[in-house]
Amino acid sequence: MVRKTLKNIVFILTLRCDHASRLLSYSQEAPLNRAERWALYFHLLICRMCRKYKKQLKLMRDILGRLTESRLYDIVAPSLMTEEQAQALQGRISKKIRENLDSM
Amino acid sequence: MSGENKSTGSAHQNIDRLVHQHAETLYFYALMRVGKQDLAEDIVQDTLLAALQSWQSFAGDSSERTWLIGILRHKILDFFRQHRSQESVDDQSWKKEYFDKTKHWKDKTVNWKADPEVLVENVEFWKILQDCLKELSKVMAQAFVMREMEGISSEEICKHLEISQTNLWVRLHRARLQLRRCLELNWFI
Repeated sequence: MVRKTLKNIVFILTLRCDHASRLLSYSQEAPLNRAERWALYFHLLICRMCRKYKKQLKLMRDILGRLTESRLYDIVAPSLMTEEQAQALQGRISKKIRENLDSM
Repeated sequence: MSGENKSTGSAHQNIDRLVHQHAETLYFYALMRVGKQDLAEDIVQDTLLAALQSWQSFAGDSSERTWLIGILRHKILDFFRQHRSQESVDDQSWKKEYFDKTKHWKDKTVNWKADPEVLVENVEFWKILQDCLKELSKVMAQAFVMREMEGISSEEICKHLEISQTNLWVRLHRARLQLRRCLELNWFI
């Protein structure tokens, strides 16, 4: 018991950025245990880089989570592809679909 | 649009309209997730073909676009499953890429000032994001796309890709570090 407590205290006091960044990432998947939470808490108090990383992770998740909105693709598509490229794409896809349907 | 006619004749009539209205949107949706143009095109073609073949099952209570995106998402997940890998990604050597000997960050990070709502409608940002996602290796990208873009739970992804939770978490962790660096260097600095 004492040994375990000591081990946790050492863990909490010696956590460094490589491990802290991992805990920040894992905390997006499942709750951390108590020692991990304390270790991260103290590390974030003293580490500006990891504080920034925490915010960046949140922002990345926010941005990527929005990419299920299909209206976004309508907004950006015309700028990512010229009219000719779009028509060529449509032509190739129509052609392949017809071939597939005909061969059935 | 009537959903009564099951013959390929009616499917044929729908091809041009469907392709015209949806192909580009579906294509960019797929491209963001699979990274390669030819793959995205194949997946869109499969999606529209499947849609035409199951036309009668389209109830019309959701929009046609929503229905097609639903099929597309399934096709993308199928594709990931077909190309899954049990490869272990925790060989430790990758950590040197991001952390120095004292286990501190190698990168000097900046604060990211951005409104996500505005950012996702910015075409220049899209190009950077697409390029950064393309640089993720296949095993990282699959896991990351399923988790962050498709919002699928860790448990479901592990089942789908037949990998352990530890394996998935390391993939996600590495993908996040890599994407962070890429976005910062190419956009936020």
